[in-house]
Amino acid sequence: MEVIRDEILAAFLNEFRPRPQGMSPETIAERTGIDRQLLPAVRERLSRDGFQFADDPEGRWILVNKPDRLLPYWIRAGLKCDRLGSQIYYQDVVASTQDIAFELLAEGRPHGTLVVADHQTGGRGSATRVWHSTPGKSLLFSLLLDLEPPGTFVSVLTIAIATSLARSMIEIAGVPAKIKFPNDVLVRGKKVAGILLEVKEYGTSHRVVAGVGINVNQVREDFPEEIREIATSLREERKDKEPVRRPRLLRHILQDLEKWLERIRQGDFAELESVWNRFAAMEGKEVRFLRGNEEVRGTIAEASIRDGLLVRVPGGEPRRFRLEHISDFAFV
Amino acid sequence: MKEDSPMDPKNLKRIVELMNQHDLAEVEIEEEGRRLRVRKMETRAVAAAAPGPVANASAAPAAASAPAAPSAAAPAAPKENLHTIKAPMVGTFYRAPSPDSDPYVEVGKRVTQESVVCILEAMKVMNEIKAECTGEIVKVSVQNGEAVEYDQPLFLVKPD
Repeated sequence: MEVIRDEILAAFLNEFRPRPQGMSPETIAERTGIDRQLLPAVRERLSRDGFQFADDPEGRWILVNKPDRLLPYWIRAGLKCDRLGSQIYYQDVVASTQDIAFELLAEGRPHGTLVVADHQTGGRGSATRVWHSTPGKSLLFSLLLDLEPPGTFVSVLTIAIATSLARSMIEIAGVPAKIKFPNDVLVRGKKVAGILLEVKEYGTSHRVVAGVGINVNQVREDFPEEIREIATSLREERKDKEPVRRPRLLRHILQDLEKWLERIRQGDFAELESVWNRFAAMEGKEVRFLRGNEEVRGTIAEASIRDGLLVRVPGGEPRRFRLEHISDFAFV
Repeated sequence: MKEDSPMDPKNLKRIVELMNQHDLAEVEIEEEGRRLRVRKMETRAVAAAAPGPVANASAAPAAASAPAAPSAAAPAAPKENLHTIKAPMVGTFYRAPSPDSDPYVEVGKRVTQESVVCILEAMKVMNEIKAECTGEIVKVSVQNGEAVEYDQPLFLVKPD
């Protein structure tokens, strides 16, 4: 049987995305450049992956059902990115997408290489924590990212990714997502996503593996009991409790992130800082955190990517803290 | 970066010269969204060994970009030719991979280029720092859990 390349599947699906009324095979052939003779095989192949087609009386093909599967060609269909997702690796089950991403990094894969899995058996969180996932219900991916320009602090990437996650959740799922500094996203105070950036050989490499785990379509019972009060999913937080399509969410995140990375490359932080500030909602809040071994309590007067936090501390001059020096951050 | 930009590492020496000439303790330059701050530090212990004033250039706190050049005007090595392992980034210094593990290195331990000597954590990103030199650790300059600045000395190594 002929192997149909992902580019063809993506081009085919891309034509259907904006056209619920369907298209004739002739039109598809004309618009995509795919050989008319090959189209039935393409349709058949996609049907096996869960795409359902119907035929209308005029002979048009209608895409009636799209699976919520993170297949590379389906992610690529309609993805408006130049660099992120230029190479996509998908597996149903992995220990951790981070491990695969590091293997690809060692092979010298380019900036923007994406690793996606439907389920992780050994998902990592910060420090030694684990990241729970439920088969078919999480969005789990890792990206190879180059620090551009070289010398860019990794922390800027965390800010850019967190901002893209929050914005995409708001725009795709319609939930009130907030960034919990530095690397989590919450909805109504419960964790919905985490970011894990890992660097090997700091100083000799400008390459980072950025891992993201999002609880998308879990229902309450899917979470282990011990985290039910602190974790949630996008679906649980939606008014209609309808599932969210993971490929669509992922495309939105990649497109948004690519824009921020380009701005960072150009040294333009103004808009990222303003959007991040809106989602992180730190200004004016009372907080406690550690700077090294010192505990600091105060009210945040200003939060800036480059200048850090300006904190009003009781009985003293306001103090500035670099974001990179802040740990154990919490609102009081 | 523009041609002949003050951000260019090769111009750092010129900046330090100008600072000395005009007796400036600190200079901050901003260009195209990058910032460079050069600050002279008290270097009493070193002054005797160093010909003329010694400046310690440290990159700006800018999260944006840390022009990787400061070694151009780094302080002279303190006595008997010791090598200094400096912080390549801003963060919190940890001597061990986790609170209940043994430190990566102790005084007296031999390190090679590839030896991990500590972790610098910044916004939950754990960065393993390598010795990038061969020799014996003679001093740990920073306390565990301390916040460190860009280019801050972390360890002294007696090279082979």
